[in-house]
Amino acid sequence: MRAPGRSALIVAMIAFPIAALTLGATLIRTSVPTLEEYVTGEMGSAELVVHPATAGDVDTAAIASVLPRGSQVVAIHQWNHTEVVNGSLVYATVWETSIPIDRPPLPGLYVLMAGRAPTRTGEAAVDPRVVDVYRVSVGDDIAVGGRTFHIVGIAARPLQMSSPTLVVAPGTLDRAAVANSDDVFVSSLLVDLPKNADLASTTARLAKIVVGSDVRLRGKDAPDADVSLQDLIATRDNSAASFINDAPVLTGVSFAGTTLALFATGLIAAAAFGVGIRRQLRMLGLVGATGGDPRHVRAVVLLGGTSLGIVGAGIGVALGIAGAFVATPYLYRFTDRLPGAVVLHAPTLLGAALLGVVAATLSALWPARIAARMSTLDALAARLPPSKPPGRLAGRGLIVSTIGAAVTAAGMIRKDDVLPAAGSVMMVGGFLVAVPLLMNLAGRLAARMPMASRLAVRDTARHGRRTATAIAAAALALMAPVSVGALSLSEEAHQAQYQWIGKDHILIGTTGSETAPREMLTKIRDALPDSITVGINFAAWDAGVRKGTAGTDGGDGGLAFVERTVFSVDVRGHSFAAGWESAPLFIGGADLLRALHAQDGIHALESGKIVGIGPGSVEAGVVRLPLPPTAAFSSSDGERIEVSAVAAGATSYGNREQLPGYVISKDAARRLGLVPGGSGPVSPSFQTLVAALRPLTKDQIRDVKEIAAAYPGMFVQTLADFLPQFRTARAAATGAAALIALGIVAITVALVASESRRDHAIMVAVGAPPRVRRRIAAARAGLIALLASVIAVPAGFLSIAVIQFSRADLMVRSTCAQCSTHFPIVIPVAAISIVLLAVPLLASGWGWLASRRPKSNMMLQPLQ
Amino acid sequence: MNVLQMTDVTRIHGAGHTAVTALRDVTLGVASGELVAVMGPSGSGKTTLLSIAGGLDRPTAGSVEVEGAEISALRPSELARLRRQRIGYVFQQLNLIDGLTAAENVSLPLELDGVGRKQARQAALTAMSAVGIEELADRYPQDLSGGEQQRVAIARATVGKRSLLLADEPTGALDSITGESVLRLLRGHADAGGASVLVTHDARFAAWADRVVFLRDGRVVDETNTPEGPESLLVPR
Repeated sequence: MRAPGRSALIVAMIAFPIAALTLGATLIRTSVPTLEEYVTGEMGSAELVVHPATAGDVDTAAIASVLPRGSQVVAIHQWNHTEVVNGSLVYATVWETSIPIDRPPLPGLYVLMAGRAPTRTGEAAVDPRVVDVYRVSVGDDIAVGGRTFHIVGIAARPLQMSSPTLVVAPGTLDRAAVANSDDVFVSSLLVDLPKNADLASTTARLAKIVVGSDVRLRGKDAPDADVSLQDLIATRDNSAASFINDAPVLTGVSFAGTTLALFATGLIAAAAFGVGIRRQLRMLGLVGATGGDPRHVRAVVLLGGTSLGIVGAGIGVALGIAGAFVATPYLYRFTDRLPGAVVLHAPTLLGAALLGVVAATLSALWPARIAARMSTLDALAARLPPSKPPGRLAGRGLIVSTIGAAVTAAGMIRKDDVLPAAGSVMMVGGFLVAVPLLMNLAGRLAARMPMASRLAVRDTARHGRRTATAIAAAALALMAPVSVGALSLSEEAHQAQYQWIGKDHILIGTTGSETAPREMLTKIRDALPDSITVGINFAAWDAGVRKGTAGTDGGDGGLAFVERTVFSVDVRGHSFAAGWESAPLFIGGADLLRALHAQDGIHALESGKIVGIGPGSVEAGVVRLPLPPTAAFSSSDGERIEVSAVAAGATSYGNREQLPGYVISKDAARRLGLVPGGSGPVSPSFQTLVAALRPLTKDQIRDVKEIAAAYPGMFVQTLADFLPQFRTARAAATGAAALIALGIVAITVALVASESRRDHAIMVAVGAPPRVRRRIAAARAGLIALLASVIAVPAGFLSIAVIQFSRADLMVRSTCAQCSTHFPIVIPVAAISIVLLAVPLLASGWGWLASRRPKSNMMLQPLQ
Repeated sequence: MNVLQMTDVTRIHGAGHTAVTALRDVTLGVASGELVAVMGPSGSGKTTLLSIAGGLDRPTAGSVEVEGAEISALRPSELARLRRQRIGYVFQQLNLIDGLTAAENVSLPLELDGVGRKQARQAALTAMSAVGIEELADRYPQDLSGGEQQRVAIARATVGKRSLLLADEPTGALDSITGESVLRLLRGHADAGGASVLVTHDARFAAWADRVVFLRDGRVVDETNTPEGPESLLVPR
């Protein structure tokens, strides 16, 4: 503890990874439900839960009639509603229970977090996601789908927090009054049996009156039965059987990640202990002078590491636990589950603490060995052991690195899974070992450099072995932002290959039945000059026309779909039977084809053919339209008609359920018995397509969304809404990784700077002005950071390249004919720029600022 | 005017119960062309006196002037310029930078002063030639013997136009022959018009000085002029 700053540094380096491990492991334990929590979250305290197949099959009175006297049946109605709230598309779920949620068997199935349970008609308890999305709180009124509820509490279903949920008081969800009332259905019936009721016989009686004739029970009572019906009626044992406890696996992954982090940390800690040894020379010399042998010296250093490890691990575990208590209330945002009380799992916490202590002790092992080998006289005289030039190991590292590069290249050429990964490990590992050699080479080239740089390079080279350890740790840390950036950008590029809609397309939709206001469309057109705006009309079978009578124009014969072969007989060497894909048919004209960039199909469209959008959308010049499976239209469900068709346009859009994939003209449609109309196969459906005819800019997208936000119920979506968005996550992950890396670089720089105190003191003594001293410190810090960055960039990028290559190889062997085998590798320019430029600059700045004038006694006797 | 003028200099290390007075009201002047030896037992304040004279440390009280400039009034950068342009310091521990060659160590003050690398090297070679180690220019300190390192340190202290040369036990780790040669260098600097201060506790070496100042417990307890003529039988003056 003679050097409190250095000790604090080591303690912090041990404490932070252990804190992260403790936090992660505790949050995993807290968020993953226990078996009992899982079963209770599924069915409260009820003994049985019945999941009716359809709403019409539920006869609560009939169910009650087969139950033992004293049983209670609680019906849970569910209403799903989609609407636009504050500019976002929200899929809200409203539950109504036949008894208040604070009465058995509902507690546990619903957890009341604040306020009270809704008991009077019109009252509701909302979950935290509703609070977030609708921006409401207890005491407010909330409007969902045209119905207004008064919020009296905050309550959630612990296992179902993926979307905003409300639970309303009994009798509130009047089916007749709810828009789309057909969507209200009984999702489950909870059966609370009296004590001593025979569960097996009750279940058997129940099974006879619900859809399906049998029920499978797990455990010793389970009769032979149809497994597919097992979910119709479930006992607590059934629910328990479906419980998968993934906490141990996730905890194991956390430990593995932390071990890797501690490896990097350990490298720095080892360097820190190394510096400490040099500053404890006299004390260690005294140990030897007073009769201690090398074993005692080694023990002194090792125990120093262990004691710092104990302190660091203790602080880390405490910080992790505190963090878990702070983070747990917000956990539902990431896990879709409401966590219970913070679970402090003693073996996990002890394991985390032990890991920290072991890491610190191992970090002190190498410096302890060096200290034990030092002669007592040298130690007493504070004579540093001379720096050794890079040894054979560094040379071998360079050879291994070269071989690794060759193995990686060979593996990629041979499309092998293992070789590229093994080769890259050899390459990076070998390179890290070869760092002293690299630095030694740099030192030799330094003669012509300006004095500050020359001294920085020579000094770094002179302490090659020691600083290489720290540089390796910094390089490992700096790999993270490069890897994160490369992986997320590459994944975005991979996803972008699936062209859901065009880069210039805007889909305008509504969650209700209203149409897009003309004024809104005009404003959007004004915002996008030269754009094409067309309505999206699904083709629907018209019962009247099909029967040869006047059309009703109602399209109540159902939507028309186009069928086509999607599997070739031979997919990448695998043989497949032909398969079918169906996609809705749309009615439109030349403008629609222009908007879809398929104007080459306009002539065919006008001549009565169906135009398939994109290459391969039509085979053999025809498409098949299955007739609707109704007695009015067909004699059998398999009847199809063939229509002449052509493929047009360069792109097949992936969003065929909302963006036209097949287009027929209005006249041709009428001849086939098709009329415009009908809602799409998925909700919400889009009504209008706007094609800007050139890729949309961020500003244009923002402007259009702002225009739509002014019209209730209307929303717009662009390609960005269909693609996974990694930008925020990438920025956050890259930023976090860069910050951590910077922290490690700063620590590394501080450690190396402490190695150079003697030289600094001499410099000042012979008249170096403060700016020169700072310049040397900055040059040294920048050099170390630059060396680490130069290693980190290819290593971080290479690891992702290997991953992408393996994924591509895996996909080539897969049977997914529609999946892209192209896994692009995108160079993360921003992350690399940060690592190569910003990090060395920041490190230099840190070196400049952290440089302090040595004390006069240091200048006179720099070894002290 | 004295090149170095210390007046009523007091230096107290620490504070409270642990306070130690290393120098107490010391007044010392060193003129151009004069070599002054400072003698005294261990802990008498010799090194403290030299470090204050060299601007490495600041007095608690009193004034220190080098060529008329009060060094306690100088900013850190001005003090640094004074050290690299006017004061040469030969440290007891030599204080050579291991990462620089002998020539680079010698040229360090010049390079720090903005002199070009080639020009500074040329000046360094001249200074090294004066102490007889020109051929060692491109060796690193760890490749040199103790005596050779001492000469490099002296060359670094004399390179350029230094008016004040301060040497703290420059012969402490040297054999007698090498020690004599070092003293001859210091004497030569003084004879060439420079002012020199030599800290030693070896009367044999102090005899090379024009004047000997005795310190005890931080005070100047005696001061005497040395007799004419060399003390050394090996290397007569």
